[in-house]
Amino acid sequence: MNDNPARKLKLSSPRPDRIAAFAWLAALVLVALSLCLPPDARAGDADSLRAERVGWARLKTPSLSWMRHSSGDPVLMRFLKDQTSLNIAPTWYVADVEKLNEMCRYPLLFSQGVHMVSSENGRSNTAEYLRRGGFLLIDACIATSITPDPDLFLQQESQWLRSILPDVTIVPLPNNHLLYRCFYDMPAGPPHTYFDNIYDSKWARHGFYAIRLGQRMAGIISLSGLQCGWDKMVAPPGHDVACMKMLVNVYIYAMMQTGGD
Amino acid sequence: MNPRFEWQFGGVLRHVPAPWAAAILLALFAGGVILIFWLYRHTLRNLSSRTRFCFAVLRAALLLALMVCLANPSRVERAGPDHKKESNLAVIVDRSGSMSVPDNRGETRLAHALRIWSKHTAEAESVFKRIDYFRFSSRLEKINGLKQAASNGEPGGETRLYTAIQDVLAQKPIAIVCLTDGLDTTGTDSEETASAARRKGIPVYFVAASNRIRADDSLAIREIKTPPQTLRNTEFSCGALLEIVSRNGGDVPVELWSGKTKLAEASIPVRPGMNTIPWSTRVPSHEPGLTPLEFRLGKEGAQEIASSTVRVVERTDVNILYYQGALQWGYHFLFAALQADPSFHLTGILNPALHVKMSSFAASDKAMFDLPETAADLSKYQIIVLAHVFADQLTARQQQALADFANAGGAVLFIAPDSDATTRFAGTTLEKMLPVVFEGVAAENAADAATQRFQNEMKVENYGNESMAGRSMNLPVLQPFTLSPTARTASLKALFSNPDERPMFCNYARVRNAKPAAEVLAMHPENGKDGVPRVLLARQQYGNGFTAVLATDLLWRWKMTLPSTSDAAEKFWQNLMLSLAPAPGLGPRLVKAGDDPVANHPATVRVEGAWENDTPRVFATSPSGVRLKADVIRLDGKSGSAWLAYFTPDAAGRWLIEAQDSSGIQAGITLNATQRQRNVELTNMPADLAGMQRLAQLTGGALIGDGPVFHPVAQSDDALEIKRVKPLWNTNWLIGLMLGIYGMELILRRIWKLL
Repeated sequence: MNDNPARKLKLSSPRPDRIAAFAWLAALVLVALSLCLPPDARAGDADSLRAERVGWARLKTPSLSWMRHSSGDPVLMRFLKDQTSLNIAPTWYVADVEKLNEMCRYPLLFSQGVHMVSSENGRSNTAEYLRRGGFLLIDACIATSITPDPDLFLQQESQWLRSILPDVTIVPLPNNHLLYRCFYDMPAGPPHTYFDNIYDSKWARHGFYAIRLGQRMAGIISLSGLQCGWDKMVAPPGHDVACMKMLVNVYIYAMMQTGGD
Repeated sequence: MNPRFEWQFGGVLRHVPAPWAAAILLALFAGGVILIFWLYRHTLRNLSSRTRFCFAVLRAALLLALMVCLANPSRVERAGPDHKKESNLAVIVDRSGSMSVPDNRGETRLAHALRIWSKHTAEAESVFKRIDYFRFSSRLEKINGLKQAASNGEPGGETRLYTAIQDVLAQKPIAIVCLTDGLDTTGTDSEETASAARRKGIPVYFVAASNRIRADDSLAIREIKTPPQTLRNTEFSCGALLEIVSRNGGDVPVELWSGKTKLAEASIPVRPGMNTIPWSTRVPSHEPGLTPLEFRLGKEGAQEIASSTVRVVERTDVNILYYQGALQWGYHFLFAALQADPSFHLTGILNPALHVKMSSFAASDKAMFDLPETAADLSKYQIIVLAHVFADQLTARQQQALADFANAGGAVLFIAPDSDATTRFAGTTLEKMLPVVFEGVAAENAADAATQRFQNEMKVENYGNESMAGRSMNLPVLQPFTLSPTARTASLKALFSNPDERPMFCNYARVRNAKPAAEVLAMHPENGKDGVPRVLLARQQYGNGFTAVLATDLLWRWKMTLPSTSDAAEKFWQNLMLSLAPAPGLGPRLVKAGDDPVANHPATVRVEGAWENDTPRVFATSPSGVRLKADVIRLDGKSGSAWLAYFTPDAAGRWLIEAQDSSGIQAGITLNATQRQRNVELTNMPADLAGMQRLAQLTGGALIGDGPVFHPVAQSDDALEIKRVKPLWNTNWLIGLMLGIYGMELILRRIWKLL
């Protein structure tokens, strides 16, 4: 009789148990090894490359929907922080169009639209903000109750901008523009969010429109519903990420542009 | 730095002496092992003693790993001079002509110095393991023994004192002793020698050789430096190197004229003896054309003169390479500020680690995606701007390329608002070339620094839940630059003088101090906690170029607060870049070649600098007004900027030598012809005691007198400053090992059905 307990165990342990035990061991070894391997260079290095903090702000206008979809902004901020080395605050801020000093705290302002700003103060503040070097990202909400007609929206925004800045030009951006490849490669142009996820050619035919002041791109008019996308409106899987990637490109381009692109 | 392994206990053991802390941990480990083996006596199932032993060993191994973590072994890097195992002293003996001229008692300066040094020979031999002897005049030679160094060979015709010291510094002695009268006859800058000695941590001692010999007063303008051209309606710097020998000391006037207009004047204080003094001033430029400049040294009627011409141009090209290490908005605004003036051409590249596929360069330029590793690749630029750069993102070769670039005449502007980033540059090649020393973070303060950083960020804004959303971002208040009282650059001083246009910053990096040769241009409006002013903008000459530090952000927030009609930000950046942009080459000038001319002997003058047309014509005007044409030959057969002009003065006295080309560019110099040959070594100039004292003090040495000088140097590492502490336990492999051990034990317990 063999009194060796180990042998007894070996004879008595069912095979599946042993397999399970070795599977656990293998998993543990893999976990331990992964800790030993250098961490993902991009994420780790990004933390050590962050410069001074900037904030993401929405332009407060007389429109009742100026802060629509703002609940999705922290998700966007987290995405920006995780995917780039930008030192961006995790929350969103307000810049009142009636207060120029508030606007000028942020090098980039996000807006649902500016054509409803009728006060002389608001109009001159926006013009002054853009002349000082600020960047205005205008993104129409694709909800039909908010933006029933994208063509009309574009026309209203363009006319308004021209009225405050006579030397401004609004030009469509071709899909091969540097903006679409400066960080992520997006050769198809901006991703489109559609109301109820139903394709609408009236929206689809629009890409980005650059607001140009001289050689500099001072802003973008978007009819892509990016904010609706990153706020997870009904859309195909992965669309929210695509919208955030597009925003990353816009932000980085706005920050690093030197004009003439 | 001397990286070494050091035990540093953490937590409650931090302040316990190391042996006691080790004993405590060992006792805990021993107790833990006993407890483990005791607990494994009885298990849920019957196990063999071998199996129990295996379990106990695994658990004990885990406990051991835990004890290692608690012990906190760390690699400590300390700063300090890298002493060799053998400490050697270098003694260099000045064997130039001035050291061998006897005075009225027959004593030479060399004998005087040897007498003083002989009192310290035994002391030096007891402290240093080896003493190396050198002699120098025109060149440095290694000699066996002091006697040979002092007696062998004839006295030389030159004194290359600072060159000799720099050559000896390269051999890394522990200290240097110079037996000399301090009269360097080559015009080499002693500041550079002092800086080199300080960087290497090698003190320079002097045995001041002197005797009773007396010198006559004399004045000379050795050389002048003017730019060949300058932009209209700006300022440019021009200067002269003055040689003044004075018996009794006093003040000597110097003036700068342009035609009939006096542009600048100063009264130069001189010590008794030899004084080699650089004098420079800023001159405003006006409309395009030729601006004549004339330096006049001495009192009217007996002035020495040197003249040149500067061409004022409508525009000049400044090529700037901008390298950005982190994502931030400053580049966009800086680019816009410089783009407003077509003189500036900015090429921008981003740190590849940012993964941003944007860079800006002219279509004709080769695409550049990272900072080059050779100075040759940087040569097409005049200024390199490094913004938000991190030390570990720049390779040693890139840093060396930047140093070589600045040394060769380029300018490097380092912009950094982040103290955490700048501390990582401590001790690097980059920091060595910059005009400031960044504040380091001592090991003990590492945790405090992290806490402080967190607190600062909390002060700046509220964090991350949605209830905080929708508010206005709280930013640190914009604060104005304050002009430094020691700032000399007039055009930059003007930028800080107007309160409405003073630049304002948001973030800044802490600077420990500016280096001795640095010009501090602007400071923080408030001093640091210790009352020391906080440097924000400083620059210094580095080799033939400049380096500068702007320890703030790129001022874009300030720009956003300014009305769009204001050009204050543009003016600041443009003037800052122009003040750094090296003038290509030197303006036209004449330089005395060799000793003073002698009547009826051929004399030589060098014609240098930027002459626009072919060989300039050179004339020499005698004291009686007779004009002679000098023969001019091009040096080395190369086209361009150097000729030798020969003439034979037929009388002693002051001669005016003038050169002119067909475009109107002219330069001039006065020379005093003597009756008899007289070289610098034999003009009986007094010893430069003050110069030697200053150089000794700057390097940590002293003038050697009668008292003891050398003390045994304690090479205790504890005296060295801690630069960096890297915990060795905080590694993935150790944590992985601990997890592996524990996991193995759990698996085995499952196999043996203890779980």
